[in-house]
Amino acid sequence: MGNVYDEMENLQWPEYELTRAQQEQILRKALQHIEDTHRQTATVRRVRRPVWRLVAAAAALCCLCAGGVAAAGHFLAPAQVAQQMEQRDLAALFAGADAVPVEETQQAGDYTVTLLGLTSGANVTEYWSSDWEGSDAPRGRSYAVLAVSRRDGTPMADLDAETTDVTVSNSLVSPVLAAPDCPLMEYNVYTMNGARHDLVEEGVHYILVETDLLEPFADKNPQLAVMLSSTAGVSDLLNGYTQDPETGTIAPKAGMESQCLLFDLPIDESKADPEQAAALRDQWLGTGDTAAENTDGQDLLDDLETLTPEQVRTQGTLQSTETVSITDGVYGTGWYYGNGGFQASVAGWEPQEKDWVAMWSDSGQVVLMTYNPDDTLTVEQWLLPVQ
Amino acid sequence: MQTAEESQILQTILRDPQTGLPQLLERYGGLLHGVVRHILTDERDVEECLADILVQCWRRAEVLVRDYCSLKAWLIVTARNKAIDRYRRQCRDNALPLPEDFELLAQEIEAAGPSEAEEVIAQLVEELPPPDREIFLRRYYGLQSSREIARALGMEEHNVNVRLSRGRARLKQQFVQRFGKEYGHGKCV
Repeated sequence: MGNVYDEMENLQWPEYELTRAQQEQILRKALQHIEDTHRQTATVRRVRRPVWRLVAAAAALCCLCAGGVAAAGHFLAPAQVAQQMEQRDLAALFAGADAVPVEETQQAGDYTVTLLGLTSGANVTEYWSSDWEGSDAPRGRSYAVLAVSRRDGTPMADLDAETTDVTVSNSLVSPVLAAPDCPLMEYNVYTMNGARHDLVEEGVHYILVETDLLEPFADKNPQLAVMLSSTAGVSDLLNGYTQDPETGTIAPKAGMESQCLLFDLPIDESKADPEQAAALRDQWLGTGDTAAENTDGQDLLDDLETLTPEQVRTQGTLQSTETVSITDGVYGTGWYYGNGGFQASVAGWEPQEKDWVAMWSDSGQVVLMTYNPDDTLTVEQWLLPVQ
Repeated sequence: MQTAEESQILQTILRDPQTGLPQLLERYGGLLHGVVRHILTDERDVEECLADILVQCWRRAEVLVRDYCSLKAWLIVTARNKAIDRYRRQCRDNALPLPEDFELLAQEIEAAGPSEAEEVIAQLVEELPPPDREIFLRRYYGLQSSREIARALGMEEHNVNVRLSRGRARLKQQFVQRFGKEYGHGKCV
């Protein structure tokens, strides 16, 4: 790399001036981070010995408990985790009457995973999903907090450490439903509008996972699947666990027990609501009346996509014409506005095509582009009648 | 090769980041801003990314001093990687695709482990004759567009694209030879 670095050193690179306010903001953030790191390093050093003792105590307790379930008093409570994540409303939910403390611990390779607790309530983290548009499904959310620590008591890596151990990218936490009519493929953190927040505090990695409301499915044996080595998303879930089609029972596949954990989610069965569950299912899977309405717009878009430039010119009204340059930008070669705003790509353009339908909308706006011999594009904006 | 000024900035960062990091930002802030804004369009993201780069520099300052490494070049590479990383995280959150040519870059970096892939790219660049070498340096490290490169080198944009295309074919060949697989599926400009 040496020679390349030397050459880079000598090149003239374009600069883009930072304002004084920007510089101050950047420095404030960087110095704050460094200060936090200093403080955290000091804290970790201070508590390392007690952590060792607690791990030893937990190990001794595990020996006494045949099921390997131990209390985990050295972790932050879910409300404290939410507080540390600056989710004050969520902290209040975890401190409320509906919160369910769990504190069940399982081992996954070199790690210990503890489900600390769960709760349900309003959408206090301000998660937003386009799935919710026009849906009658309940808007509440369910939240669960896990603690991951090393079995040997050494601290978990900080989130921005160069060598991380558990990250959003290499681990998976997903609610699942152990019922025959709730296949893993259809009921998981991805379909349920899941989101995740991670935090490392005093050498413990906390994971907060949230999804759409789980309470309506309380009679479907809700569980929490945890995989600490997963990079392929839902396919890992399907490859790591089996589900009995008759009973719905979910279990790690043979030989995967140490990688695929499964916690029961103790949600009060009296909260089961088949009607709400059906509405959520329709929202997650894109079935039901709302989905049918949405496909109407899609049908129109599909129709517009099949139009040829000649058909557009015959059926539509020309709104404007302009000639633009083809330039190179972050989205590849195509048409960009002067401020860098990306308009359309020419990546899919076939040399034999003279013009093509580049963009269309459900309001009947269609953009035709014509490739000119002088490497420019003629852009025509057309309006087609839509019902 | 580390300049005396770079060495002095790094020593100050090691001794007192509150003094050293403002010096670093004053000297290289415009350069770093110029690199990351090729990917990050929101100025808030740019600020977060630049703060990350400063923190990373503080963490690595001791190694950079020890290895006598060019601070400017290290900052450019780190800025590129941090910007791609931040963009990818945003894409995950927003379900937006990474622009395909930067997806390609990210895959090159990730395909066989960062250091190996970086070495292959560096080796390729070193073997290139001028002006292709500078074209690739600007493209792969500075994330510059063909148009910007053409302007900097006084060349036709089309010419830059042709040279980039040839170089990419060689890079692809070397990745297949070295790692036994292709490194990406995206289409580059």
